[in-house]
Amino acid sequence: MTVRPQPYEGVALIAPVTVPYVRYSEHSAAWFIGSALAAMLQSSGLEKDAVDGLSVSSFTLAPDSAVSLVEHFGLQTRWLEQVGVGGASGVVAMRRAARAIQCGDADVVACIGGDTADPRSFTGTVANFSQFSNDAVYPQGAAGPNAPFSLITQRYMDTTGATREDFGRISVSQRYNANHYAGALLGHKTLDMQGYLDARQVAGPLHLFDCVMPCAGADGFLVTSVEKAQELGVPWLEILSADERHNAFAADPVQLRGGWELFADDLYSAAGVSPKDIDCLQTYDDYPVIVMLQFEGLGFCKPGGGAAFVRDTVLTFDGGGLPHNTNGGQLSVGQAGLGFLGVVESMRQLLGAADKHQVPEASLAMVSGYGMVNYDRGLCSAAAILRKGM
Amino acid sequence: MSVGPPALRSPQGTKLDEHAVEGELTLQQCSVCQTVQYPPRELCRHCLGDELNWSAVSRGGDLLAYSELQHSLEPFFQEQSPWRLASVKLDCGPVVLARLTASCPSGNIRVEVSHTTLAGSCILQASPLNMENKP
Repeated sequence: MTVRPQPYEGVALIAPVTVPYVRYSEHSAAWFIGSALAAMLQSSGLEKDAVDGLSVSSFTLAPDSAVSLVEHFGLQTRWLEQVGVGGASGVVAMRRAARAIQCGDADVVACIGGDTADPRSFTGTVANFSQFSNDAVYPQGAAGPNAPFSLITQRYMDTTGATREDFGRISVSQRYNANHYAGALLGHKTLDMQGYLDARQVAGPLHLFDCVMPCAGADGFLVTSVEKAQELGVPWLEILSADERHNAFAADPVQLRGGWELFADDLYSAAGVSPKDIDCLQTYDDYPVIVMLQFEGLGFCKPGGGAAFVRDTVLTFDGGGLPHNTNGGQLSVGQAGLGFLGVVESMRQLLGAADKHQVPEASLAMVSGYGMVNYDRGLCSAAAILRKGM
Repeated sequence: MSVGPPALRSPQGTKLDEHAVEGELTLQQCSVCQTVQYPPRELCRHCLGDELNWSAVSRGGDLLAYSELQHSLEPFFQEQSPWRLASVKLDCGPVVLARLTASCPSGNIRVEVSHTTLAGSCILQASPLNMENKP
């Protein structure tokens, strides 16, 4: 028997919120996460006591943990989760919370990804990221994630013929999207292809606009039942399908594919749709090469075809092609909160709440996550297809 | 202020350093299934047994990719930049990240990987072999 996820019926996603991103903050991660919770309560009209489940993801919460926050925020929960799969955490938190709702383990789960940032916190996170990284990566130049991703990018270019211009198409179109999203930290600056190509080199093929800017901020949403959402009278979204894989294709010497291709077909068939039906796609863009792997693994093009795909496809929110990372993604908004950005942006698009970067008539959204470079590759892949509740 | 390379290691990483011999390559090998593994850990990644030896293994491998790191989070490396970083698929199994001793073109380059010491810190380095006819 093949194991496949059961449907997520009866589950509603509501109240997407963002605590505005800032480059640095004196506030703790708890402040960002708690402020997201407050914003969700305001958005949904729920009282704090109604929240009986909490799912938290953060790189900067230590020494505290999810249960510390239950006390910080004066909550009493009967379901608690700390999802630590890096940039896959948003999608993974969503699908786990959905199961808690379906099984009656919780009534309302607040899912929040949030981080703080000070000028030293990024180095601290990177310098002690994992045992393998401490022993076998950081002593080789201490370049953080730029090191393994420069090698993956170089190998991808050598293998597929992708060029810097191809990666540039991703970064430049995302910047255009960010120019229409007030919350993007780099949204006030334009970026054209020449500006992308002329940027300073960081690591091998990676240049400045291939790299995300770590920052502070939080994103979150509530997961509850359709019944509850209707009772509250708020618009809601449904999860048509979702899945995850960890340490997929471990025998590949270089990561030129992620776990998505192991479940993408099932995602589409469970949702009854195909890639051409997706109105907007949010991928996890820690580096453009990983975006290419998601285009390929999620069936938008064939394996190794990412470069040709971005040459032929308009990726801006209003270009009529495949609207992609429609608020600018991490490359232009900033990196905080472990992959919740894409979930919240998908929700806003489907709710028609994306303001100046709204994709016209978006009714079907896909969001993808990727995370945790424990050694030489990201271990976690996740994706979901969402639709406006009806 | 004099700065050295970052020295934070796990207990297994410390053992790797202790077993490192300049010019050789000593990695963990499972005494039951003979799997060679890197980075070091406490159990065999294949059979989950804990009888692991430190063995001199074959140093040959294929260069997978290399890049020159222009930016480092550590002042020690920033002073040495650009740092030539390579990923190598060793003939004995694992993929290792190593400092490349000379720049070289991509594609079909054989390298030899060995331990070396840099400012008191133990690292792996990879030396290109079949460079004779390459530009």
